[in-house]
Amino acid sequence: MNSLEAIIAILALTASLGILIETVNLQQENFQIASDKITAKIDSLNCAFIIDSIISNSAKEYKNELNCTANKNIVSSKIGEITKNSLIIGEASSGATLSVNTYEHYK
Amino acid sequence: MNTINKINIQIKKKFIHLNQKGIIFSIDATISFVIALISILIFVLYLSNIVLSEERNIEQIELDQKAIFIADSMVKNQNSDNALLGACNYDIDKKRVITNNLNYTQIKTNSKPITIGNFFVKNIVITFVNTNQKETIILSEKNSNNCTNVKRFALVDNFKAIIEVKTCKI
Repeated sequence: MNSLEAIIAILALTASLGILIETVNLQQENFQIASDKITAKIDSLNCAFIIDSIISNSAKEYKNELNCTANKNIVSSKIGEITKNSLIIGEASSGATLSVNTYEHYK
Repeated sequence: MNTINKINIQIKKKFIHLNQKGIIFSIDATISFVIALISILIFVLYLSNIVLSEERNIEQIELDQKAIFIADSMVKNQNSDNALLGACNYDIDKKRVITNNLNYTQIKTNSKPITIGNFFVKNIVITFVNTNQKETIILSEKNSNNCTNVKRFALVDNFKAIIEVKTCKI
């Protein structure tokens, strides 16, 4: 009887430990995906911030490097396999350089 | 025979004592360990909720950003298609847009609804500082509980006014 109880206890502990390890592994994967999603979204938001401020201030050019691509009113950023988009108030396109459609300030 | 029985009884008593201690110990340990594991699991689930709330915060930042830059564009640009993105007056002599100097008629007649993804501009409120007169230009009838207001100080037809742009998320 005593050994049976001990075996049941060990089995319960092993099962609980197994579940815990599996859950932690699963959560770790989820965290990585969530972290990539958030980083990609923040990157695209950063670009949207810059492009929107170029539009609102009728700026001529922006020389720094951007971690995103722009197509019409959508700005995309990719981290690993995850792509996140942000929208801008005007239109822009990115190739070798970023081109933003600004409103003419001096006419 | 009696002696053997006595010894047997003594041994049994000894083992019963040991058995009881062992059973109690293993069950107690298991229960406490399982409770500890459940606590850790709850903590892990709580962490994943934090990530979700972080995503919601980012959406709020995006809404605020849109509101800020639409209001900014309105008081710094001139846009003949939509006054919401540029309602400034134009200085013919200097051949340049006069920032923070808005044209009331343009705002009133040429402001068109804007929808950027899930975001839309609900209304523009112009409050003239001296007279306290308030003018609301409704651009969308859609209802939303998630809205943000951005206020900008500017001249409207050379009168001091506060421009308030209300941007919402569907």
